[in-house]
Amino acid sequence: MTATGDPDADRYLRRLERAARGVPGRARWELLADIEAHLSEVIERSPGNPAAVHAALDALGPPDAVAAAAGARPGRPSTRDVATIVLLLVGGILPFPILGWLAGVVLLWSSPSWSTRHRVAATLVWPLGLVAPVLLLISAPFMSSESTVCSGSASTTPTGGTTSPMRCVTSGHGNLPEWLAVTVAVVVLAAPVVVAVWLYRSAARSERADVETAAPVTVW
Amino acid sequence: MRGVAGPDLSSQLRRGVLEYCILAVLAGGDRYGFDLVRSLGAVEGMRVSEGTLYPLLSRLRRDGLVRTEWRDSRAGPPRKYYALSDKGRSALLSFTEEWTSFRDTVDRILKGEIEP
Repeated sequence: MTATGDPDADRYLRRLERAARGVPGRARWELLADIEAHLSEVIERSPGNPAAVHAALDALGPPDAVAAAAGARPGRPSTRDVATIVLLLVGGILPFPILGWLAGVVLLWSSPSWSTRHRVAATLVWPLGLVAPVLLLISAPFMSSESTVCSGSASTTPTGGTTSPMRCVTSGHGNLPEWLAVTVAVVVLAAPVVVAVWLYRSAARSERADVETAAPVTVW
Repeated sequence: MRGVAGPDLSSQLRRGVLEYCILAVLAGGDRYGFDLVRSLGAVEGMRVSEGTLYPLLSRLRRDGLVRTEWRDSRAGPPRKYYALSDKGRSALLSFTEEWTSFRDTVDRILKGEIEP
């Protein structure tokens, strides 16, 4: 499958293959074979002409639209997949600290709905899910509180006069620039959510799919 | 309330009609996939993306309205030819009648000749 010899055409076919996962059985293979034959014909007619391939791909239309015309509907993810995503998000806290998240990881790696790429990203980008942002949120009031320490005391100088070399140092964890703290907070909070949405979409797409074939890495 | 706006409207209009356009093209003789799809995609006003025609052809085949056959080409890979079946021919015939009278009726309503 997917071997026209042209990198752009092949990339399009791989993307179509993925988009057409929701197309039932034989119709899917027929669609892929038809589009592959179409592209082979283009390459046959204008060999070594990337512009011709690009024009042909434009005329074919986006893979998602082609797959949709063949009956691929973005399905809804299974309950199991939704449970997986929820556990990954909040399982670090509920129902049991960490254990819930570990269960989510096990479900994640044993579900056919995701590719290795998804699994690695979901495991590493936000270990323990929303634990980090929640901790951050809880500790934020303490972190911003400042303590003022004054050292030294009024002392008598040899000349008899008194000076007060009191030095007050305002310290605390609040020495992070505010913009940086806000950025970090947003990133830490957004990362799990972004990955969760990504997982959800992928699960929806692979719903109704037959057996997961070796998931191609597709970047079209 | 905007109703069916621009691109939506034309795609809705085309939806039920496109398959009969394919049958009509095939009434003029067998065509192979690439050739058929290219010529339909090039028709001004059809505004159809070529990729979506293949699933349609596949459905026509499953419904028995067209037959397919692989034939060798002189150079290059074998080609899948589409031909109108008897069932397809009679479907095209009844559509043509239906379409003509429907189109005339709509035209007359649009021109205000008929008060529905």
